[in-house]
Amino acid sequence: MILKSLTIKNFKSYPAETFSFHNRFNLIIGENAQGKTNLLEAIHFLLSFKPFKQLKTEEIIRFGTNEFKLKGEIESQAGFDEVHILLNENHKTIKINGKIVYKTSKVYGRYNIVTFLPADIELVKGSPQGRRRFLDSVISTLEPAHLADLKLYQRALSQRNAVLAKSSSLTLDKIEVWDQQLAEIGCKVISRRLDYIKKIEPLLTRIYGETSGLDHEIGIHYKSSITISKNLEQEFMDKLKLNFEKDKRRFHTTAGPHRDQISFSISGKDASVYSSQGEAKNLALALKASEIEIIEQELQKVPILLLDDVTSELDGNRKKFLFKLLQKFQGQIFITTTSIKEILYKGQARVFRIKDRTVKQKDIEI
Amino acid sequence: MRRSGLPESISRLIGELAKLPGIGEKNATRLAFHIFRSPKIYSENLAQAILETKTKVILCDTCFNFASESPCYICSNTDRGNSSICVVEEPLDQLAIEKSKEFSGRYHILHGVISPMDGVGPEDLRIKELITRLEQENIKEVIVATNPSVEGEATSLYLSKLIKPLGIEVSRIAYGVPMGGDIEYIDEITLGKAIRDRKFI
Repeated sequence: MILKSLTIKNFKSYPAETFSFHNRFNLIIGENAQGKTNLLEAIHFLLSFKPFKQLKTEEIIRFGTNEFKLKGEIESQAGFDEVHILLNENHKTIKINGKIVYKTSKVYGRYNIVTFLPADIELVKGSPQGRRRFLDSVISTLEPAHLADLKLYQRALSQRNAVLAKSSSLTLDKIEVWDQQLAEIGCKVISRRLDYIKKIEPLLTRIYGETSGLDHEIGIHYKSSITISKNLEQEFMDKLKLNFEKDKRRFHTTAGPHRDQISFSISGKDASVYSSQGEAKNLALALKASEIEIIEQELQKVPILLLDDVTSELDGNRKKFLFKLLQKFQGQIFITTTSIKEILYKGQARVFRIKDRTVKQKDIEI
Repeated sequence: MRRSGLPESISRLIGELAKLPGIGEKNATRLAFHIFRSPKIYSENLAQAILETKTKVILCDTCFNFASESPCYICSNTDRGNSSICVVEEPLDQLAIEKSKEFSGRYHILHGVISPMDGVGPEDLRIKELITRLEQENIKEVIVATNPSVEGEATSLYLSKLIKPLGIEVSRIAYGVPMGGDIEYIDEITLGKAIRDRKFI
């Protein structure tokens, strides 16, 4: 998959700009606060229909204007796509090849991207929600049904919590109808997470070895609030029944995939607590590299890579590993940096130099 | 939206039409001008028709469908089977099922689904009335035809828990592949459900 060109209007710091990209390596150079990350974010928005992290609409639209437009040309195995996105205060419109997309879930996963961001280290050191969200988003690109199930689960959960919040005289039989649905959908969510953890774990151990040069066993642990067994749905139902009094006191559902914890371990030790800064960086890098591999393996597609200022975060061996990976990688790469000296890539590249709101592009050999 | 230069009565009509579901400001304007240009008798008929929906349409006391008399023509039709009831969310769902001509029993309209988030509980639906019917009439099967949404499923589960102890069979409509459809164009979720609920032939 290749992003051929992108036209931006009123997106973050950009009033209007058109870019035509290199098939392999695109280097975005500029000092801080010139709009490098914003360009990367525009690409992210175009291909995944959402920003890097959850933002309010007015934070994405250029200050003082009321809507932004993105237009991109994408070439993939499926053919040539022209994607238009228009976003204003109250509505997002996506058009693919001139046809309006009414449900984003229908096109989710159509384009695959893997991002490397400075905040990736949070996947190791940060909150369990971050890891859950990461795993769910990886699974959703591989299996769109997962996203649909997550939405249904959330819906059933909100309904159940609404029942809990409403009446203190609540009896078990009033909540049973929601329990059954929560269990049915929740089971699918949990089983899929377990399946993919099993697939990612060996990749992660191998790649971690390559980033660190050390032979450590990496574990992904899924600590579920439901006892994992052959009859997961029944276990789920039993747990909800068991927790009924507690849930009633707290006005919300205390067990289920929305509470499950995912953690990593390096040689058996919990990485969120015991890993050093260096180990955490290695692990974050290895996670993203395994994301690329699992997409290639499961979907037989090559994703587009977006790397935001990662070189300043990485030193010595990790940098060498990353550029070895990029050199070997078959697809299209976008990378931002403050200095071209940081880039250890060899080959043809297109440089976008961003300064004082102007963009100069040039093809070079690095 | 400002509609400067328009006589107030047309402007008001546009405003009222724009309140209808699926009708935007532009569409409302077109409709209003169409009404304005049509012969007077047309607007009289339209106004009359609209008014009559509120004055002459009532809810059938038995099935709670919209009707002009109670019991409605389905409830009073003795040619129809009276051993099964099809439970639907809204009158429109009843119309759709009636069009299929597959079902010739009785109907019961709930007027909604259980949705605690929106403050709708079982007591806000016509469920009590359904149970009374089941006790009085000689019903052998209840077919639950609520939508395949989270709320529709919850409502159908609720009904089955309530009705089964009465010794009446409860069934749920099947999900799956639409007739004349192409499998490649069906969304994964529907198809997944269709595969799980497959039947032997």
